[in-house]
Parts: sequence; structure tokens; C-alpha cells
Amino acid sequence: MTPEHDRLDCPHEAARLLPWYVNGTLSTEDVTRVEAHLRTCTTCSADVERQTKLQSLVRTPASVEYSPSAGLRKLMTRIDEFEREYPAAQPEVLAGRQRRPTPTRTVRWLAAAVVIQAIGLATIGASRFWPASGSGDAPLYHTLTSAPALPANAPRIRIVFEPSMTLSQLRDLLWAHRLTIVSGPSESGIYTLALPSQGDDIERAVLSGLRADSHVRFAEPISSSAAAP
Amino acid sequence: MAPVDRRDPRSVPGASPGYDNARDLDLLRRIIARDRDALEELYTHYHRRLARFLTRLTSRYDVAEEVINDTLWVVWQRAGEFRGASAVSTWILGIAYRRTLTALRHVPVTLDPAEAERILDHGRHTDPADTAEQRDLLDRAMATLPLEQRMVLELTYYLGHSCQEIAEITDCPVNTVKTRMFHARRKLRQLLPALSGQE
Repeated sequence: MTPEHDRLDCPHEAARLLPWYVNGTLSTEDVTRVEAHLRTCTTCSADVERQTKLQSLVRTPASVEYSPSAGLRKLMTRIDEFEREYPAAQPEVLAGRQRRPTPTRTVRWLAAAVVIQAIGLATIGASRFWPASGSGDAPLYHTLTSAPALPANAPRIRIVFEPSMTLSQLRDLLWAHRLTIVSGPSESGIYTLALPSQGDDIERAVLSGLRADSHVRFAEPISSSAAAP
Repeated sequence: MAPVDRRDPRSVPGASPGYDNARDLDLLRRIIARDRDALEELYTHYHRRLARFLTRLTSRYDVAEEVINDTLWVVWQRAGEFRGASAVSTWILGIAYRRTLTALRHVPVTLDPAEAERILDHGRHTDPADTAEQRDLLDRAMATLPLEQRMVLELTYYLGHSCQEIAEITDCPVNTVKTRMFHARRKLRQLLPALSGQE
């Protein structure tokens, strides 16, 4: 390490703001403070010149400009495939949600969940006492308890969420990717989720989306041969 | 060279076009309504900046394109969750930043000490006025920095973000941003003495 370069470090607080003075993003207050310091500090004045050179070097136009068309086409194809699998229904809900405050959403979801459970239970009760006429085997309606089982080879994901995640955030995330909770939480907070259908692209897209979510601590696919409920 | 007004990034030679938050918000609203033209417009606006920013970091356009696509995919799926607490650009860049860290997780940084000597030697034989050569030198020097430090340099000097915005994009305290910048610049000074205009 060459000593003369270390001497170029001014200890003044304003010295640390110089990069943003040079790129023009400091507040007017900070600009005033920095300029006051620059009037008395040759080290920092030289530093500003150096950083200005660095900035213009960084911004030298590239010899290659990248056209967005190819990438855009790939993105649109990905969206097409995704929407074929999952017909888009969520935007209205997402847009509507924005108007409601958080606590109400969480309570409302819980209330809805309780109601659905109650209806389910009541319907089971009814079918015991009033069996369907005719063949009797096929139910006249579907309840939660008679929901179709997931195919055995439905791709699964192991996931852990941040403790700060609210119930409504969890629900939105699961719904956006059409995921179902297969099991969990385990003692270490791991959930096993299932995708409704197979497809490497779908799985990759969903994992991408999950990992990009700040509430997801980790998400890993479980290979179908290793899957266990 | 025309006098530079440091308070206006647009007046800096070679500065990329600025962000337009009102336009971005409008596009997000249309994206929530599933307007594909709006997504295309947003993609085109961000592609140029992100492509250059990312290829400077990865030197592989295919990786850069994948990060851009993953980022705009998340925007398409989750535009409805944007709360307006930050600028749209900050939100989008935050997504891109996290995707980049994941994508480059396995790429080793050149920590070879001999590389530092090679860069210094390269610099001694380069005309300081030759911009293309200086750019190459700079790229080589930056490749020796840890990814987080390079990100701060690029976000500051190339994309022109404020310290506060970078803190939001990288999800760390403002002081961490300043520290990373301090270390990055110190290393660059050691590797590129010609840039310092050594008398």
C-alpha cells in the first residue's frame, strides 16, 4: 500500500459525501456544507476533480448498445405461458386491496377462513342426515373436505418465511403463484408447498418470484423422487 | 468543456436520461390492469440502463438479460404491491440488485494479488488521454473489487443515485453505503494512480 494515497483521506465528514456531490444528488443543505469545506481543504478539492474524471470515465458511451427487443420477446413469451397455466384473475383484487388498511385485511381473511370452515362443516353435517337421492355415491356439491387431491407428482417447494410476514401477505403470495400448503409449519418453520401443475419453466418462474419476495427467507424445490408429504 | 452544474446530473457529459417517477407510476397502474404495452414501455425504459449497468458487473450479456427479465417479471406480477414509499426506480433497482447478487453468487472475484501488479503495469504503459484504454483499465480494476463495493460505485457514478436511494436499493444503512464507497475508491486510487492526475 503506497503511503501517499492514504494521505489523501481527509477525516472530515464532508469527505464521505463527495461522490454524491459529484453526481449531483446531495440536498441543498449538504451541498452548502460540502462547498464550505472545499473552500478550506485542498485534499478534498483534488478528490472532487478525481471523482469527476472517474464519473465521466464510467459514463463513457459503450461501443456496444444492447437492443431490448430479444429480451422483451422472451419476457412476453414467459408471461403468455404463465397465463395459460394460471388465467389471470388477481389484478382487480390487487388493485382493490390497496385501499384497505392492513389490520382489517388480516382480520377479514381470518373471518372468511372461519366462515368457509363453518360452511364446510355444516355441509358435511347435512349430507349425513339427508343422503343424496338417486345413485347416492357422487356428492351433489363439493366441500373443502372433498376437494380433489393433488396429483402425486405435483412439484413441491420447501419454503421458510420471515417472521414479520403477515397472514394477508402470505395469502397474497400463495395466491399469486397458485400454491397450496401441503404441510407445515414444521418445528423449524418450514412449509411444503405444491404447484398445481408440472413444467420446468413454471417451476423456475415461481421460484424466481418467491425468492425475489422480501418475506421469503428461502425457497428450494424438492425433487419429485424425494417428495414426501 | 462546458461548465458543469454539479446539482444537475443531466448536465454531466454522458449522463444517462433521468428517471421520471410520474411516468413510472402511470405505467405501474396500467400494468396492474394487465396492459402489456405499459410493460413493454417500462421494459424499454429500464433495459438500456440495466443492460449496461449489469454487463459492467458481469461482462456477460446473457446473464444481464436474465436478471432484467426476472426483474420485470416480478414487476409484472407484483406491481399491485408497490406502496409508493420510495421512487419506482428505487423499487425496481432493489429487485434487480437482489437478483444480481443471486446470479453472481458463484462468480469468483479476481483476488489474485498479481492482478493488481498487472493493472499498475498496464497503467504505466497507457496514455492517460486515451479514453478507451483508461476505460479498459478501470474495468479491470473494478473487477478486483467485492461485488457490493462495485455496486455502490456503479449506482453512484453510472446510474447517478443518491446515497439514500442506494441505501434503499441495497437494503442497508446509509453509513454502510458510505463505507463501501470509501473502501472501493481507496482501492481504485491504488490501482489507477493516473486517474488521480498524479503530478
